[in-house]
Order: sequence, then structure tokens, then C-alpha cells
Amino acid sequence: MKTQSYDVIVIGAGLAGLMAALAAREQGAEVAVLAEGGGAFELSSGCIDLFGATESPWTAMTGLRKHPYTLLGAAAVREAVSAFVAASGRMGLPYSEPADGRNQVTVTAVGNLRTTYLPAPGAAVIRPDPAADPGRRPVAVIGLQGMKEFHPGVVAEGLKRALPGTPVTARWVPLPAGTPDDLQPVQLARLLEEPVFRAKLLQALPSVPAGTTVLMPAVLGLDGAEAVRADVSAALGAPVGEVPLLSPSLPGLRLATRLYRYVQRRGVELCMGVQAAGAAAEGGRITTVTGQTVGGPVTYRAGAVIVATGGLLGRGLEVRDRTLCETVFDLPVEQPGGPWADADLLSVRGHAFVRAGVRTDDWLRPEGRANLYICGKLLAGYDPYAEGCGGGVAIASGWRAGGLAGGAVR
Amino acid sequence: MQRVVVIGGGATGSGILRDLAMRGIPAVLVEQGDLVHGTSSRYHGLLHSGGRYAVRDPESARECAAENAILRRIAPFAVEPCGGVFLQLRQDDPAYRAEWLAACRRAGVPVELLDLERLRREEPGISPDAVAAYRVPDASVDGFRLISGNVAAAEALGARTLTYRRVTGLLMDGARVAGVRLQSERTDASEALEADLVINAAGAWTGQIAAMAGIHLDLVADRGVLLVYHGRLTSRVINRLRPPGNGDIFVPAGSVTLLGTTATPVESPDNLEIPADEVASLLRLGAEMLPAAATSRVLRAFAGVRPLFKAKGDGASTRDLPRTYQVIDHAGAHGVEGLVSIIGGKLTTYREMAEKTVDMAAGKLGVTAPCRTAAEPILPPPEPALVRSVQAFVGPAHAAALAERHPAHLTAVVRELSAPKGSEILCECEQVTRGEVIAVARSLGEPSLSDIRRRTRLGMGTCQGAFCGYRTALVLAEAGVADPAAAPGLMLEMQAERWHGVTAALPGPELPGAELTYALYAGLFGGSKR
Amino acid sequence: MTDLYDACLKCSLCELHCPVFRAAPAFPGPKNGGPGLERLRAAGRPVDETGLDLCLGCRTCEVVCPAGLSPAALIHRPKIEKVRRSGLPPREWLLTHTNLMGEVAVRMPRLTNGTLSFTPVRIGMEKALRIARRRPMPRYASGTFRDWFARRPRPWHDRPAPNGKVVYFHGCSTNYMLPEIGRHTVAVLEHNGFEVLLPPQKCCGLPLMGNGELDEARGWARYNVAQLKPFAQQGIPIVFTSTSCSLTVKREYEHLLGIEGAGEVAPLCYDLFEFLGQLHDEGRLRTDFRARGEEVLPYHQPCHQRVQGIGTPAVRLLKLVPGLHAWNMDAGCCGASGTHGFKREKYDLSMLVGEPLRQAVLESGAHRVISDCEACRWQIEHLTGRQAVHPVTVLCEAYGLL
Repeated sequence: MKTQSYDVIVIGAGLAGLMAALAAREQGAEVAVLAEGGGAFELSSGCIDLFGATESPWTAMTGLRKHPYTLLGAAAVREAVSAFVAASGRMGLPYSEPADGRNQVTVTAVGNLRTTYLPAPGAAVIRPDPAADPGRRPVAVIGLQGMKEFHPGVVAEGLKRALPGTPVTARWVPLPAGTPDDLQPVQLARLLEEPVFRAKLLQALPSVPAGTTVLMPAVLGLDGAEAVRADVSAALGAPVGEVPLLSPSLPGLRLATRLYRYVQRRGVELCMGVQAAGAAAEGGRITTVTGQTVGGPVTYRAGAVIVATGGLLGRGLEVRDRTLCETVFDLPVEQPGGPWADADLLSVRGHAFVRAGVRTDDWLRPEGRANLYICGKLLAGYDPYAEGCGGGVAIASGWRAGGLAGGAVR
Repeated sequence: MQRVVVIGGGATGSGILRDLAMRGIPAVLVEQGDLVHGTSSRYHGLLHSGGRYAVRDPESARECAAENAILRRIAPFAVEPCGGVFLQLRQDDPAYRAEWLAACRRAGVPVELLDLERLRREEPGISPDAVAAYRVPDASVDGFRLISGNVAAAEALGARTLTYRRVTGLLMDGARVAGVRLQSERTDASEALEADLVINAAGAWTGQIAAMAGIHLDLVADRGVLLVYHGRLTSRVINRLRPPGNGDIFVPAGSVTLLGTTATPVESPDNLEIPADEVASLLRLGAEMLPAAATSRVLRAFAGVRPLFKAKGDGASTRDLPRTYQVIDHAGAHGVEGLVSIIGGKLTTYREMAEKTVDMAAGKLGVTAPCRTAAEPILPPPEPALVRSVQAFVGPAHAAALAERHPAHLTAVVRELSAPKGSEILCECEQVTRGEVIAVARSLGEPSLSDIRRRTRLGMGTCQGAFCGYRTALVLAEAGVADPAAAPGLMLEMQAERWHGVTAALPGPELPGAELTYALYAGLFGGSKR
Repeated sequence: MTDLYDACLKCSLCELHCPVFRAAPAFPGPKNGGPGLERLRAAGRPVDETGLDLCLGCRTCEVVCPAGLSPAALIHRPKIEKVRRSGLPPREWLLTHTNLMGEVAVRMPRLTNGTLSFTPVRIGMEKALRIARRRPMPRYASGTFRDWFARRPRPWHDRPAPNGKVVYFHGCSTNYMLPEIGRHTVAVLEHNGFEVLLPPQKCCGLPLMGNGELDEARGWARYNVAQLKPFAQQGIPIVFTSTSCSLTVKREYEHLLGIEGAGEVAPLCYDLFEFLGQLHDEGRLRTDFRARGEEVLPYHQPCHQRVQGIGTPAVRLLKLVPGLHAWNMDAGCCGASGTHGFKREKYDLSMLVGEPLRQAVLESGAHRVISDCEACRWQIEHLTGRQAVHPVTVLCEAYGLL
């Protein structure tokens, strides 16, 4: 029988799971992450939403009920956000927390303004409040010809509506001659890390008046994005901000690449390609988790288990016979009461099926489970897309779960 | 200057338009939505062999058997000759089989007993409860392609088509109908069209049109729900060998499978609600024939309204109403000249319905040219040189599928394919190119993404338009076909339309796909509709 | 894992991570080339398979897919079909039968190695067979590992080894080219009280499978399973030092080739460090390491190991050695992909794919790097000029057994 032993096992390598692993490791625990696949955060814009479309997420979240943030408490959320920011610096992809604790404003690919708390490094940040930005800096949106995922005119039209009075221009810049047609964003981003290709593109960039906010599609490099953006900004004569594309969005990939490397540097064992397929328990405590690998089942002995398997996208939840089920431990799932989805796709109320998940006590444990902790999308009671809190809940619940689990076994 | 206005851009209306054009009668077709807005795009796509109606409705069965053969001949571009099977299950009444076989013989529906074991090898998804199977010449028809083929053929002979024009009233000259009043669905514009004859081929809305002339038609709007499965659960039509009921037909349609249907009388032909219990019952019933139907991924559900009429001998349920048709000259029946209505019927027999209608119309107009719609193919086959030229852009494997998608407008498509980036793929799931999309968009003026979807299959695959809808809106802006400021709205319209159908099929295996779509668009639009 | 395309949501995670897709626009990518094409095939539509053969088989798509799909397995099918119809071309035959050539080459290593590194010969090979001349051929040793093993005295004589028996599946590269890996492995296992058994073995067959030839691979696989099964049935573990061999026997024998009995063998198959790690968990691993200086050892995880879901057992274990600081560079696929990197038309792609790894190695400043896959090690040396060793060599050093 194949066995491995750890203090803490985290199931799921999404943002929540990886933060949980880091927190447990910080407590000195031996940690392994078992993951069947990648996490949803890799597809995202790389921005961390804390809460809401209002200016102050910290204020907005105090009025919540039966929400993961209410389980965690503001202090735990603050601690987790700081931990994430600190880790991001150590990974070489520094996020910064706004000094005034207010949401910042980024731009979407259809020219909408979108609030977020921690913009992805390199993301375009707009300051729409005229009082904060006297002189109404002009905005220049630059698209790369041949990229069908980004249209500078569409972004510009959206911004003109959202920022009345601000001069917004749009233009296309050609890709270097000989560039293959129909490039996907990740292909273009890799090409831009090649010095020769990049130099040619830089030559085609216009220089803009000083003080212009320049927006370009988020294809300015992969792991080496910082250097690419620096070169682009130098050529433009103004700092460039990236606009994330629909999906997959490269800033999410950049975070994922660094975060996977970082957790391993911190000594977390990252086992990709494992499907958690059951567990054994004694007296209310999980003793082992069984993982299916290509070489058959492996039994992982664990002092504590953190379930960060995600919702429907991560397959932490699945539908069987019109009921939502939790896929590893068969934990009770709070079902949507009533219609599963709102008739309006972008309803501000969100959708009931998205809010479904597992309810826990204040220590993120489902009822009757002493050493099992839930974090991330599997938690019941929130709609990350309508509420704008996906990254925040992932980080905060993950960090807390890891701290609790790691502390409990040490 | 038209002599005839045809109301209704579905199978019947388009068939009538073609027949009129072929007989040299100038005509205009008006349609409240996009072509095939009504029932013709909202059914299971089955080209009936007639087997379904043999026992209860032998007249319909005979019509279907004859027209099935004709349509295969004249519309190969729209018909997938996949064949069909009638499957009897253990729990079905064995006595029905003999009755059915005899009825098929009488109606001229070709039936052949199949070796069940061999069928199981070819269709491994068939239930272990199957006890007998018979082959019939069912086929799968792409309603949109068929109708747009008819329209293209008619337009080539001088007919005109006006879509997104709703008939708000009939022009009356005393007791005679002299034309129609139209209101654009897209702008404030209204107009009036005069005609010697108005043909009311409005399908489920026929009653509403007739009411504008003070005529009451005894019609029933009967709503049915259908499910669209990802992938092909079966490679041929599967029917249940028992009296026609709910959830007894599977039809492969390109890369998806349709399961239908139910029957619920509704007050209005615009009632396209999809009750959850009907979805649940379809899943249950479908699984009796193909067990995988219970757990396979249903991409979405949709509803369509059948136009039924209460002929003599109507039964208690709408299932018992006949599926034949009736052509009514309102001059004789109601004292209203200048108006002919065609009621009832089904898509499979549209051509015959059109023939009878135009026979009557021609008689009233004094035109003696005979009907040739059965004799001549609707569209000439695409020129081999043209198809070969497509290969230059998209490779041989893809060229055939592309040519099939655009039987009537291949020249325009090739022109756009040859433009820079013309062969760029916008919809990966269905391999739809930029050239096709631009060609279609240019031909329509200010299309919605849904208009483009119907004509190209964009967004009809795995992602149901989540990714390609976004890309296409941007490409339309870039190509100058759409205003950049309108691009976000185009995306939302497509997603909202899909959402309605997707949520009706929930909960099910499509739930993660629904969440992904929601996540993508909430991110783009900032989490709330702007 | 499922290769049913039905579960694909088109999330594009596979495409995002695929090392070939980002480097080669001619490759349709795992999403479209895998479940995308499969769906069209299932609908009876003609499909365009151009560019699919650029897939390096790294399985990154499989590892990241949240729906448990293997686009790589779907992409591989057309190649298998093609070989079934028209057989293996001569070049592919040569590249996949290194074992046969090995038997001859080890009898005259200097001549073989000299010839294979002689430029005019390489130019000729490139012209005639399209074998990339810039790719250094692995050097054959002077004598096989098996010969060495057969000739040496039995360490336990007639006593049973204290920790029991273990079977060693050495693979072709260890046997013909890198017998020192075998010697180090035997040393480490014997040091830990095991008797090493060496049943007869054929090539695991992965090069054949990778090139689409399954029937011949089945013959070798049946032979290997027949040799290994009796040991598996007795609960004797089977360890591997080549991650390609371990993946092949653990999974592909049953999953791809359908070999009867393979399912009984797989649960007893361990990557060497997976096995040593378990020993450590059970308190049965010797940790009497020699004192040594500090060394930072960047580790490259072979793609064929990553998909096995065992984490990075070499990194984990070497942490036990004081002074050694092993860490996973996690810099992506090396690009070698077994036989594919030797092909002229794949060579440039393989070097492009390995570029991030090259940079990571050079940035690390380390003068040697560890990896459990021989193809990865050869590629790292070719990319960077730095030395690459098997972690068992480092462990052997640490025990003072070298």
C-alpha cells in the first residue's frame, strides 16, 4: 500500500488552497497540497476583489450576514490580505494594498469600470474622481492589430461613457512584419519576451503626451512581464496599464506560476494529478485521505485536512440527481432554495446556485468534524461575481483555515 | 410591385414565397423577427418518415411519407439523411406493434425490421430494455438552412423579404384585404404594403392575423419543450414505438442531440416558458430509451409553439389533434376577399402546404403556371470550383462543412474569406470563420449576434457562445460592420438569449458551464448590468 | 481521468499552460486539438489534424484540467491510427529501438560514440533521416548495467536482507548509457537493507507508444508484466529510476495498451524516491549522511513524473541531508520529449520550449542540477552546459557510498 504522512493535507490548489498551505506551513506544519487540476484564479484577471462595487470594502462587508466574512471577522481578513501582499512581494509579483483602504478602479475589455481591492501588478488603474485627478488626464487606448481579443475603440467608447469629460483616444499599432496570424494572447505574450520581437514592436509604438494614462491589452509578457511593461512604458513615454481580456487572462496565469513556485520554495509538497477520492475517520476525526493517482491509490495520513476544492468549476461540488453534492467527503450542502438561477444573467442579486455550498462553524469546520476545515468557493453563502469578493474570500478563508489547521496539529 | 404579401417567415411562408416566385407572381414576405423566428426553429428538426402518425393520423402520415422523399431530393443542403429507428421497449404495449406496422403499410411509410443486436453495436447507447427496432427513413433537417434556402431561391427570382417587421394591421378596402401595415421591430419606422392578395402563413400567429380582419379561427397554441444535449447521443433518429406521447424522439442535429417533446396548451403563441417539471419529465422519459440521457450534459432547453387547429373529431388532449393542414379562402368562408390563410401542418409537409396555398392564390390571381417546387432543387449545388476555392483558405476537411453552411451565399462568403484574416476562426467549437461571419453580417445590415448565430452556427457548440460571442462582437466592430459603442450590447443580447435556455435546463451537468459564463460576463460588465 | 470530451468546458486552462502552444502557433493546442476535434469527429465532421504531431506529450494539459480530461491522449490518437495503417517510418524505427542498438553499441562504445559525434556523420544522418545534428547523441557505456550486476558478488550471501526484497526496473538508458545510475541505486537500496532483484526486462516501450506504435509495444509490455507480476503478487515493491518508465508501467500498460495483469503490477510500482520517501515515513530509511558543505541544488521535475501525482519526492527526501538545499525550479517542460527532440523538424521547438528552464538554471547560479529523467538531464546539459545528475547520485554521495 502506498502511503505518505503529513501534518496538514490541503485538497485543491486554487488561491484558497495555496494560501491555506502557506498559512499552515507558517505554523511549522508539514503540508501537502493534493490537486486534480488548476484553479479558477489562473483564468481570472489577477485582481483580488475584497468586497463590492462601493468605495470602501471594509465598511461594506460589516453589514453582511451568514457570509464567509462574518465567520472570519474583519481582523482575520485584514491579516490574510497582509499575508498575501507580503507573499506576493517575496514571489516577485508585488501587489499593493491601497493606503486609504478603498477599492481601486480598473478597466474591463468592454470599457467598463470595475472596482477591485488589489489590482494585478501592471493592471490599468483609473482614478475617476475629478477631485483626485485635476486636469483630467487623457487616456490613450492602444490595441495590437491582429489581436481579435481586444478592440481599443470598444474600450474607448466604454470609457467615454464612464468618464465624461475625459479625452479618450483609441488607436491600433501593427505587430511586427512576419508575425503569424491569429495569435492567441499567451502566444503573443511569449513572443514579447523575445528581445528581437519586442524591439520591433516598441518601434511601432507612438509616444504620448506626458501624463497620459495608456491602456493596452494584458499580453505584455508572462513571467517576465515586469521587464516588458518597463520597455513599453519607456517607448511610450508614459506608464502603461494592462486591461485583462475575457478569459483566460494572463495576469491570473502570472500569479499562478509564481504562487506554485513560491509555495514549493516554502517547503509545501505540491502533488498535481491526484484526485481526492475519499477519507477514513475515527471518532469524528479524519485520519487519512485517499488520493487516486496514475499509479493507483495513495493513502495520505493527516493530522488535519483542509478542503479547498472549489465550487462547480473546481468540481468540489457536483450535481447528482438535481442535488448539489460535495465530492470528497459527502458533506451536507446547503442547496439553492427556490429557482437555481435568476432570469437575468447579470442580476445584482446573483444566482442561488452560486451561493450554494457547505456551512461551517466559526472555525471553518463543518458540523461534527474536528479536524476538517473548509475554505474558498466551497463555503456557502456568497456569490463572488455579484458581490465582487472572490479573491478576498479565497485568501481570507484559506489563510485562516491554514492557520487553524496548522496550529491545531503543532 | 408585389401582387402578394406573405405573412410569416417560417417554413410555410418561405415555401409559399418560392412557389410564388417560380410561378412568376411578384411577392414580398414579411416576418416579425429574424427568419425562422417561430416554430420552424423551435422544434426537434425531424424530417418525418410518417411513422409517428401512421396509427392516429394516417392522412398526416401519408403526407409525410411523400414529402420526406421530395425534400431529400430538393433540399439535400438542409437534410442530414441519418435515418431513423422506432424502438419498442419492454414496458410498451406489444399489441401496438402490429397495429403500427399495418398502419405504416397503408400510409406508404417504408418500414424494415432491424436486428436488435446489430443495432446495439451501432448505437451502444440504446436501453437494455429495447425489445424490437424498425428502420424508417426519418432524417434530421436544419430548419434555418431550409427556410433560408427557400428565401434565397425566391429572392433570386425577384421576390423580397422584410424581417423584423411586425404586421400591426391589415389594409382594408371595405370588406377586402388590400395589404398590410408594418411596424419595424428595430426602429420607429412603419410602412404599408399594398397587395392583391395577402397570404396568412403566420404559423402559431395565424389566428392573430385573421383576427385583424375580424375572422375567428379555431386554433390552439400548443407549447412543447425540447432539450439540447452536448454531443451526439445517437447517430440516427430514435422514436418510441408506442402511441405518440412526450419525450419520445431523439434527433441528432450536427454536433448536438435534441430530445423532445411535451404538449401543453397555452394562451399565447409567445408563451415560451419552460416549466421545470416538463424538463424533468423529458429527462426521465428520454432515459427510458437512451439511459445516458439522464446524466448527459444538457446545454439548454427551449420551447416552441405548435399551430394546431380543431378539425372535426378533435379529442380531449392536444396530442390527439391532427397534424394535417387546411387552406382557407376567406372570401368563401367568411366573406373577406384578398386573404387566404394556411393553418395547421408541420414542417415536413411545408412544401405541399405551400403548393396547395399557391394553387389557390394563383387561381384567384388568374395565373396558370403550374407548381414546380417538387420537381426542381431549391438551390443548385455549389459549384465545385467555388468549393475548391474555399479549400485554399480553410483546408479541405473544413471546406466541405463551410460550404454546407452557406448553400445560398457561398460566393459572398468566399469573397470575405479571401480578405485579410478571413480564415481566422472565431468560434472554435463549431469552426466558424471570420469570413463567414463578416459575409453574413454585411448581408444583414445591422445584425444581432443571434442573427449571425442562426446563419453560421456560431455559439452553438460547447461554450454556447460565451467566448465566441465576445470575440465576434469585437471583430464586427473592427470590420466596420458594427459601431464599437454597440459591441458590448451585442454581446449581452446573445448571452441573455442563451441564458434563458441554459437556466431552464438547470440543475444538470451544464451547471459548471453556466457558472463559467456568468463569471466571464460579470467580470466584463463589472458585476452588474450597465 | 476521462477522455470523454463531454466534460470539457472550454475553460482554456490547458491551452494557457501548454508549453508547445505558446511557442508554436502552428499547434492547435490541447483544447482545440483534443476535446475540440474529438467532438467534431463524434459528430461525423471531417477534422483537420494538421499540427497535432507537434504535441510533446508532456501531459501538462492533463495535469491542469479541472474536469479530469487528458487532451494529450485525444491528440495522440491520430498518430496511433496512422501507424496502424502505414507502420513506423525508418527514422522512427531507429529512434524507438535503442535497446536493440544498445546491445551492439556497448560492445564497441568508443567507436559508436565517436561515430555518433562525428560531424560529417551527423550531417549525413540529418540529410538522410532528419535526425537533428545539433542534438548530441547519448553516449553508450562500455558494458551494460545488467552485466555489472550479474558479475558482482551477492551482498547478502545466503542471509535474507533485513528490509526485504525490491525489484529494480532500470530501463534502457540506465542499462546501456548510464549504468552508474543503476550502480548508485543498488548501493542506496542495499545500504538500506534491501536485496535488489533484477528480473529480465525489455524496454518499457514508451518510445514506441510515443511514436504511435502500440502493437509492438504490447509485445514488450506483456513480457515485462509477466516478469513483474510474480513479484507484485508477493507484495515486493518495484522501483524505477526513469520517470518515463515508471509512468508507462504504472499507467499506460493498463490504460493505453490494455495489458492483462498490468493492473496488479501498477500499485507496486514506485518512483525510487517515492519509495524511499515512504520508507522514511515508516521510519525505515537510514539517515546516516556524511558531513558535507552547503549546496543549493535546483531540481527539475520531469513532466512524466509530475503527472504521476506523487509531488516531488526527490526534493522532499534530499531535504533530510544536512547542507543540501534542493528546490523545485518549476520552470516548465524541458522540451526534450524523448525521441521527439531528436527529430530535425522538432528540434527548434524543443529548444524554444525549454527556454524558461534554461534561464532558470542559469539564474540559479548552481553548477549542477538534478532531475530523475535522463532525457531531461541530457536536454538541460544541452541547453545550459551545466551538469545534470540523477538525485540518486546525490543521495549516494550523501551516504558516502560513491
